[in-house]
Amino acid sequence: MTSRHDVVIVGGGIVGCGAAFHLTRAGAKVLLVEQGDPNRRASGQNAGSMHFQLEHRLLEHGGERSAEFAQIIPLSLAAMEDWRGLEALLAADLEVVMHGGLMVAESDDDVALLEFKHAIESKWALPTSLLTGDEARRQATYLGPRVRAAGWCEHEGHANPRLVGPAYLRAALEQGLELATHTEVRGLERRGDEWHLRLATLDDAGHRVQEVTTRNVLNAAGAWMAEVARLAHLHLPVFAVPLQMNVTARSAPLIGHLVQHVSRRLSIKQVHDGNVLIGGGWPARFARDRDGGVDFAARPLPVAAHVRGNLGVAADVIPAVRELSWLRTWTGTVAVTSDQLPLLGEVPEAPGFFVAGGGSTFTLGPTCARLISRLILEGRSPLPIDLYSPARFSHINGFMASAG
Amino acid sequence: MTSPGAPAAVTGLAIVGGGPAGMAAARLAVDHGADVTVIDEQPRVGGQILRQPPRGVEVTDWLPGAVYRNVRRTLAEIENDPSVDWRLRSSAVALLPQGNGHGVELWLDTPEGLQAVHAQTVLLAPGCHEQPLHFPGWTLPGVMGAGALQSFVKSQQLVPGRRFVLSGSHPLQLVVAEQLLRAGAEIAAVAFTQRPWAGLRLLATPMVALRAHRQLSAAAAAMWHLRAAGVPVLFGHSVVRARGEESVSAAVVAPVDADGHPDLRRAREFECDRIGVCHGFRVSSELARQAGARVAWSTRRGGWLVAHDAWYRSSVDRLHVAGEITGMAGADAALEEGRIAALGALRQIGAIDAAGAEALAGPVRRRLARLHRFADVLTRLSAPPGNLAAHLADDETLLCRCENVSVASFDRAVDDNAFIVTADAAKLLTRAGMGLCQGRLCGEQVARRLERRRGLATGAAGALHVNLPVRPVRLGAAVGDED
Amino acid sequence: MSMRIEHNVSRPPPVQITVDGAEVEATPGEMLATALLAASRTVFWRDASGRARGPFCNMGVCFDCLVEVHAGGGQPRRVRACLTPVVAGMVVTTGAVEGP
Ligand SMILES: Cc1cc2nc3c(=O)[nH]c(=O)nc-3n(C[C@H](O)[C@H](O)[C@H](O)COP(=O)(O)OP(=O)(O)OC[C@H]3O[C@@H](n4cnc5c(N)ncnc54)[C@H](O)[C@@H]3O)c2cc1C
Ligand SMILES: Cc1cc2nc3c(=O)[nH]c(=O)nc-3n(C[C@H](O)[C@H](O)[C@H](O)COP(=O)(O)OP(=O)(O)OC[C@H]3O[C@@H](n4cnc5c(N)ncnc54)[C@H](O)[C@@H]3O)c2cc1C
Ligand code: FES
Repeated sequence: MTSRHDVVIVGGGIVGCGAAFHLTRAGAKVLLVEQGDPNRRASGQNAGSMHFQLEHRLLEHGGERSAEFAQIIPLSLAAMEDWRGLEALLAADLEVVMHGGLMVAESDDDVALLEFKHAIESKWALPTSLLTGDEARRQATYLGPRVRAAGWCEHEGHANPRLVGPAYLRAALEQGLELATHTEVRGLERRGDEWHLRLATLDDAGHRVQEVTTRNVLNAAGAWMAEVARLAHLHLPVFAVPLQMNVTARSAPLIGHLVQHVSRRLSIKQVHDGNVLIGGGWPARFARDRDGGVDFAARPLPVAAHVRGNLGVAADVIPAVRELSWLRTWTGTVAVTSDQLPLLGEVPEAPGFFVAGGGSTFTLGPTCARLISRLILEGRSPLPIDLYSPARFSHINGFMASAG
Repeated sequence: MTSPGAPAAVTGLAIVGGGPAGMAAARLAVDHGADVTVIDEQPRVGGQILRQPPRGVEVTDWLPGAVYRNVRRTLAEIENDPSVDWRLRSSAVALLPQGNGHGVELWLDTPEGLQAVHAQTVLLAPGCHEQPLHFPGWTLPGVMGAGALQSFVKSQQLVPGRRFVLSGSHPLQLVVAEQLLRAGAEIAAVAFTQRPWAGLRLLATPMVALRAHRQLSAAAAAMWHLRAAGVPVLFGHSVVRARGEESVSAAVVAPVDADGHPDLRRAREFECDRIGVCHGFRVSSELARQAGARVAWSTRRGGWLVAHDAWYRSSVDRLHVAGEITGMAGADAALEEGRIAALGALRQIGAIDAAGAEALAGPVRRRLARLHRFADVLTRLSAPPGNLAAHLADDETLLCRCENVSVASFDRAVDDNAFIVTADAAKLLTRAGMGLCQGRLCGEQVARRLERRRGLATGAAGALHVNLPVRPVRLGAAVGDED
Repeated sequence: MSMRIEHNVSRPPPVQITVDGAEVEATPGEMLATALLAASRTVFWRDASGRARGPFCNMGVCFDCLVEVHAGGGQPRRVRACLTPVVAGMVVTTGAVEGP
């Protein structure tokens, strides 16, 4: 491993691998450091939904807050374009399907929420429309009688999260990326205008520690972004949230779209191989360590009641899923920021320290990766991203950086 | 009916698996006054060695041999005991330790839907399944485990074919071949991967009292009978291909060397409609792994064995283990392990004190030590050549039979993505191990092929993570709409 | 070709089940896999590439003995034939091709 780089990326999820692709394509000398196998955490474990309609989690807190969350829409619009071009860009089959998505409503309150959501989306020029229950069922014959109305966005869909990160990584390696897997970033220190990173590689011989130097660091550590920032004496209000997902055994084609629910936790779709993925943000629970403390690094434990809850919503909306086999439930850890908007930009108090992640960064991952790379290389992003800049937390890092 | 949403049924000791280990544990626990629930997915208890005929089917002189004597006695002592809460035709699909001494919740997939049982403590005795062999044609109908064929005879009273080839490294195949022969089948050949002298050398070890070794003496008697009936018993050979369009029509058998490399120029074809493979067993530790118990790899003793202490307690609070999942040791050892584990569980729920448990455990431990020595001889004798599967599989051979992942496509994915080194990552990339059997038939080969291509040591790729449910469940049953 | 052992075995009177439209005699309580093998069925289902599949483990592990059982008016259910006891009047289909 060479010791001097233009950029060191911390984290080999979709964001880190995507940035590695864009940075090496522009000729930068890049090292990506990943503590395990790449794409094994959230980026390989998520549901693969590309959802652009405002999600349940953004709507559940009502009027004004929801309007704030609508600031995500410019990124969503860019993401639609990025996804449409991604398979060609990477010359890989990523099972990208964009046949549209429905956000369903069951009750009067749901319908009102859907209308409210639609009004915000129209203001921000997100192309969605409203369907009655019957219109929705004509479009999506598998929807059950409880569906009273639905929001429709023709650009929604899904891709295979197991394939996207590795495709980015293969292309980046061809472009000269240096990769250190099973290697953890343990120290991050700024000296002059360079960053010094301490890396610990786990191998049969135990730990091997080495130091590398770089002008820029990209913190793409997902749910562990706050920990990595702390190594640089910075705080990021990012929280690790454990989630769980379910999948059925393969079956004949049944569900042709991405289906979400406006007021209940549900996202459901049928993937290329015929499995139906059922999720929607049902929380899992952090594992305990031997002393009874919480272990944030271990795989979270599934919550039994939430399995039933999640499958139950799916069966309410699409009754035919009752005949499918529940094959597996798994968990993963996602990063959520304190204001639910992503973190994308340079930390003003720590020049050369960039962050990218937080929220639905599968949907927005390719876009975040592209924009942050341009910001690192050229000092500005082709799309305004100030709204997502870590500068909005300067009131914390103003203190921190001056002492770091 | 209690579905997992409703309050769970409550029991003292829930035993998963009604085989020798589970039956012996249940007998002892009931005798000490514990509330015992026994869960098994078969319609009758007995486990794999005693797969019973359906109720209503009477068989005179069923399983007369000496190998079955002890386990049959235990079966007779427990099967009709009404103080046990029997949950048959019920698969335990999830094990949820509640932590802080709050016991364990089990989810059962039953004909009446998904049900929850809350147990103060759990004993896992789910046994083992047969280790498959990935050779060209192994997914063709008619290729089965030798034990699978045997269970048709024992339990269903069915000769599950006309003409059989058995191939493997485990002496059980001699017993199976003989049972098939007696039941009226034709045996085209029995092929052992070992060279003849390898086994003989072991048998000559003075420590071993061969005559006292029930499994081996049963195998030796079967061999004698087969030879007398003119059945070819080949050593240093393996089935290398199953031929047939819709089902097996012939087995190709070739000499193999000590590493498992076949000499295809000297291959022979045997006409047959069934092939039984017999390469020993892999322990069913999936529930223990799903619950987070520590496991350790042993190729020879059955795969991912559940680690335990002297009372057969696993690393998870209130989760005890017994029988084959602690390491292949045979049915008689499973009985004794079941007893010790039951004593451990009784201590846990306060039904016996430490001195009482110790006094009862002493003689059991002594018998067990002897049985473990026998088991060690058997597992050493029956180990297949290390790289047999790697040498036999060709590009089209399915590595994962559930997800239709061929060897060639798996290797390509592994080569194209040189940055992955764990079995879990390989599964994520290729789907191998993601199907209905939950990786139980391919998980080991996924790890071995990855390790070989990366030049890693055996076991370095790690175990496939086990998620709940450990068996697929109809979704409608899971949400509680059973009609 | 498989055959039920008669010597030393007494069975309850057989019942009728329907396999792929044909009437077949089976023993109540025996496993569906047994009844199907005894009726000369070896192809229980086909995978997405059309390959024939049949029982491998006979103990519920491999899921290669899946057949469709029709009950009531609803959709047929895929069950493991090696773990499903025969009941009089059962209607069974073999050879179903797996989706998608
Ligand atoms: C169950 C689940 C379902 C989801 N469903 C969806 C969905 O349908 N649609 C959607 O858009 N989003 C979804 N998400 C969210 C989405 O998966 C994540 O937002 C996205 O994958 C984050 O990508 P990332 O690259 O930022 O983080 P990750 O994929 O988590 O990658 C971060 C990497 O950093 C590594 N790392 C951390 N610390 C260090 C260190 N000190 N040194 C070295 N390496 C380190 C980690 O090992 C990890 O591999 C879901 C998430 C979960 C958990
Ligand atoms: C097909 C086969 C044939 C065999 N034949 C012989 C033989 O002839 N002679 C011999 O010495 N040994 C034989 N063995 C080895 C044999 O398993 C052991 O010697 C002995 O039966 C082990 O006892 P046990 O109690 O550990 O497990 P088992 O006898 O295997 O009992 C385990 C029980 O647990 C049940 N079970 C497993 N998982 C679950 C779950 N999740 N939910 C509910 N129930 C569950 C199973 O249905 C089974 O009844 C055979 C093994 C197999 C797999
Ligand atoms: S034969 Fe393997 S599950 Fe039925």
